[in-house]
Formats: sequence, C-alpha cells, structure tokens
Amino acid sequence: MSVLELNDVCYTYAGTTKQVLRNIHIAFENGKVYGIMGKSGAGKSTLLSLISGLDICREGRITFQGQDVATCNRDDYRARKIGVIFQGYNLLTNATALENIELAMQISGCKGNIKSRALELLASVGVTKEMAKRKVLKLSGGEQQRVGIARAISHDPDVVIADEPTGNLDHETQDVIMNELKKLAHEQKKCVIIVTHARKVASDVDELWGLNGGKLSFIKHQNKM
Amino acid sequence: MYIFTHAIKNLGRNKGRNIMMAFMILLLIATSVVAIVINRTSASIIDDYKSRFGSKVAIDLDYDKLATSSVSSVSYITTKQSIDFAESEYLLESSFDAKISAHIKDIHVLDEENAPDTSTSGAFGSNQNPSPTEEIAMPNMTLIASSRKDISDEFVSETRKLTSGKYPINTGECMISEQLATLNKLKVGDSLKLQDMGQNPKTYTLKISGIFTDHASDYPSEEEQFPLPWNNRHNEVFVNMDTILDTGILDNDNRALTAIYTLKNPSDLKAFQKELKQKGLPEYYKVTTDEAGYQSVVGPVEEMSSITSTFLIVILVMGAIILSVLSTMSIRERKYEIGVLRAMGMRKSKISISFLFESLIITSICLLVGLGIGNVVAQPVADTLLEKQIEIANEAQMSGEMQQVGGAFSEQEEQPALSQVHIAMDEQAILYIMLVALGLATISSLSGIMYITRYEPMKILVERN
Repeated sequence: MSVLELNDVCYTYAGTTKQVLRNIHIAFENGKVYGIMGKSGAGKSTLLSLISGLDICREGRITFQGQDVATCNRDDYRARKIGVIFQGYNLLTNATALENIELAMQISGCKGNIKSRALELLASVGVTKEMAKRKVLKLSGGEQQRVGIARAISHDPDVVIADEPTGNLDHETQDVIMNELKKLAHEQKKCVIIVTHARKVASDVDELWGLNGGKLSFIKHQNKM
Repeated sequence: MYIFTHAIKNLGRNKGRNIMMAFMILLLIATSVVAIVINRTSASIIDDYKSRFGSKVAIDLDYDKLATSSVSSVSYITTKQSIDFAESEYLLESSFDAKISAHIKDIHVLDEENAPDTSTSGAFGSNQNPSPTEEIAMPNMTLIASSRKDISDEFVSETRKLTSGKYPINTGECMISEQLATLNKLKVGDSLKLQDMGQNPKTYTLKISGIFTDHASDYPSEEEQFPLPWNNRHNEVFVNMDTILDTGILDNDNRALTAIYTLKNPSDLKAFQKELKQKGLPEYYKVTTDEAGYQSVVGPVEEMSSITSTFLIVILVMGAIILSVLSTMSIRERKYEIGVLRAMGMRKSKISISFLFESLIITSICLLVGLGIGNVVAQPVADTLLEKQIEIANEAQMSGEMQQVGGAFSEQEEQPALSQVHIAMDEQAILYIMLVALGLATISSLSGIMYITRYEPMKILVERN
C-alpha cells in the first residue's frame, strides 16, 4: 500500500505561464528507495518541495496516508510525517550538531530523554559525541550531511526525502550516506525518495524515475537495472 | 518550554548582534527612566501644589473690560455679596479676613505719643447703644477679623502665640498683645472700647478672651522711622468674623474684606464664575485662580517636565527608528534561521514567540540595569534642568514679563518658588518604564516577526542557497 501518492500534479510558478510539473502520477511505498533523476531545471526541486510540504500543490492532489497534504496542517506534516535532507544541509549553523537534532525532536513533539536519543541517532550516522558538541560550521560537508540525515529521521518519519544527499561528498562518504538511506528503507521500512544527478546513487535505488520537461516517467526497477 | 530554551541559547549564539541591540536598548531605557522619573516627580509636585494652592480663587476688577465698557461708576462687592458667594457647591472652603482702622478708647496704645493730637471726647456706649453724637477720632490701632479658627498663618507658625485665655471664638470677644495688655494692666476677662471710623462713629465693647505674645518687632523695618500707633502691630486687636459682621463696620468699607474661595476642583472655575455672575457679580469683575503665583512657584518645574516629555518622545521615536533599522539589518542572518526552523515544521507563531522572548530577555536585563543607571542619573539631571529653568524664570521676572496679579492673592503669603525636587521612582513610573521596555522589545523583534509571517520557508531557503 502506498504511503504517498501524487495524482495529476501540475505546477506553475506565480507570475509565469510555463508548467514546471505536468500531470505527475506516482505512488510511493514504504520499504523502498526511490530515485528521481533529471537535468537541472527539470523540476526536481519543485517536486520535492511539494512532496515535503514546503510548497502548496494547487493543481492535482498529493495525499499522505490518504490525507490531502494541501488541506492538512503543513507545519505538523513537516515536523512529524516527513524528514527532509537538503542538498545545502540547511542546519542551524551557529548551533551544535546535537542542538540541531534536539530542536528538531522538540518541534515534532518527541518526549523523554531527547539528548541521549539525539546522541544515539548521531552515532548511528557516524557522528561522534565529540563532533556532536561542535558547532555545525566546524564540521566538514560530509559530517554536516550526516547531521542532516540524523535530523531528518530524528522524529521517526514515514517518508524521508533527500535532495542530492551526496552532491557535495567524496565517494567514500557517498557510500556511507547511501548505505544509511538504504538501511532506513530496508530495515526500518521507511519510504526514501532521493533526488539526484549521480549515476552511482541512481544505481543503488529500488525504483528509478526520470523527470524531463516536467513529466515524470518510470525508468527501471532495481533488479532490472 | 523548548521555545524559551531555544531563545536563551540563541542569545549566546548571536553575541555580536545581541550586544549591539542590548547597548541601544539600554541607552533608550536609561534615558527613558530619567525622563519618566523626572516627569512623574514633577507631575506629583504640580498636582500637590494645585491641590494646596492652585484652586484658590480671587475676584478682581477686570480693568480691560472696564476700559471698554460704558460703566460710569464701579460698584464694589459688598460684604453681603462676598458671604453670599461663599454659598456655592463648587467650593471646598471659604475664608474671610478684614483689616479695619479703629480707635481704641480709654486706654493707652503703644507709641501713642507719636500720634497727632486727637481729642476724643464723648460718651462711650456699647454696641447695643451707639451714640450718634460721638466725635470722630484718629485711628490708633487696627482691628483684624478672621473667619479662620486658627486666626492667621502667624499663629500657625507661632510668630504670634496665645499665652493666656483663648482665641476669640465667640461674638464680642477679642484678643490683644501682651505689650498692649501690660501697658494697660489688662487681663483676660477685661473689656475694651473701640470706636469705628465711620461718618457716624459708634463705640463697641469687646471682652478680652485671650492675650498673645508676639515674637516680631513692632514695625516692619521700612516703617520704623515713623513709629505711629496705627502701624504698630502690637496695637492690633483680633476678633472673629461674626463680631465684625455684627457691628456693621464693614458696611462703611466694602474693600476692607478679603474673601478667599477655594474650589473643590480647579476645573470648576468657569462654573463658579457663572454662578457668581448669576448672583449679581458685575460683568467687569474677573474670577481667577492664582495663575501668577502658580507660575512663579511651579513654572520652572512645569518647564522641566515639559522638556523631559519632549525629550522622551524624541528619544523614543529616534530609538524606535534605530532599533527597527538594526533589527532589519540583522534580519539577513535571521532569514536563514527562519527558513530552517520553518522547514523543520516550527510554526510561525512559535518562531515569533521565540524571537520576542529573545528581545524580552535582552530588554529585561537592560531594564534592570537601565533602572539603576537612570535612577542615579535622574537627580543630577533634574537639578541641572531645574536650575536652568529657575534662571530663565528669574530673568523673565526681572525683565517684567511676569507680573504678579493683584487682588486677593497679593494679600496672601507668597509661596517660595520650588528650588529643588527630590526625584523618586513611584509605581506608575516603573509601570511606564516597563511599557516603554515592552514597546522596545516588540520593535526590536518586529521585523523578524514580519518576515516570518510574510514568507514561505522554501522561498527563504531557495534565496539563501
């Protein structure tokens, strides 16, 4: 059963006439890693912002567990249902890695010993306790991306969306990050959606989709790639 | 709760920006404290003065109206009218004083050897049996009547003090000085005979109810070279108002009576004036409060209050502008933070509260420090301002710009001008300062809050990235 569905989704930026997304139909399921590939300007980031509730879908319908995202409380949706890993990390740079995770957990309403859970999460993505206490700006790109992943999964969302999660990372770190994302899907039964340019990343996903000229088309299933 | 924790942590994360903001807010609060405290103290001084002196009313001839009217002869306010005017619902109290020259008979008065030769023959009758045949005598004393239970300010300040007997509270009683009593071996219970200065002089008998001692000299210094008995203050005889009204002496001289009316509320002046006109007060009379006296005493304080009010407004307006600019300038770095927090699902309202908390924490610290600084600085600032205003007022007075209004107030003891104010911070001043601080906190977080409410997170993050 699909956790997230897009039905006939179209999108045009205000003040323009060009449709960035055209009649998108797709259903995402738990336990799978989805890859969406496309050239720059193909509409990947727009699609991501609609799925993650950062923007509103005005044409067509996006449903999360059967509920229309456009009509639900999008703050709650972002805080509890969806985890987003940004290409530019989008962490609070003057806060520590630990504080970033703690704050995300507090916003989503997590209870209990938040600090120890945040440290556990960071450790699970390879961020040590010492690194966790450093300000984000004093961490490397790869370390920041790991913090971003930890933040995205800190509130145990059903869907994790990653925008070029390995874009700024070396090959070794790319592998580590991809493994983390695959573990989320295959072990924790999350739905992971990755927007990427990287062929290596694309080859690691369960389902690959292409976005071209605003149109989304199925490319391959993993076992056929 | 986490919003509050986040706000506190954020203060430490953005030290540079917050120190700059705190410095500005501290400056604004400290200056506001000075201005508000001086203003409040001045206001309470002015209110106190108004309640004590500002509501006293004088009824004087309006010479401007007289000059333009076709009145051929001026009619003075009669004693009956003066008393009738006192029957008003607008008045808190009224008091009457009268000073009448008279001739004291059969006994010696002080300095009588300096008086011109007078032959005052004729029978002395009681006030019940006035004799129309009595000869006109030269005045040799002053009869003073008062409706006050404490007689006069001199008895309150104990320049004059009752040494035996009691105040003349009953009709027909009088009070004399020790000097006059000693000269004539008079004591409480003895009687005096007085003759008025009317065209048909009458003689009245008064019983001595009290004797007072007088610590002042016989004459005011400028009159010492002419020591005449009617000017010698030890020849003054005090009676109550009823005694003098019963005699009818005042009917001969309407102007001998001074009436002081005190309004319940200074704002009732116009209504009281209307009532007096209805009771027959001629149009060419004006009803005024002691504006000149008020100005001479409270004027500098009022000016100081006015300066601090203007200063406060300028400071707050300028401060609000500077804070808004600082806040807007710092929004560039805050924009990213807003975008991240919104992307994480933090509600607009919570981010706004968090920003407001940050401003409130900074402002609260500044408020405490500012209250201390302001409280210390307020007194010297007030002293300097008041000193300057007194100088200006004195210069204006010297150049004749400020003239004392005559009439009833010229008879009153002049109030000393307020030469110093003791600055004190009251609850209302603290409340005003807290409101100012709250306003500053709101302004300093306003641009951030406006930004939060206007933009969607994606737009902010896309712009930044």
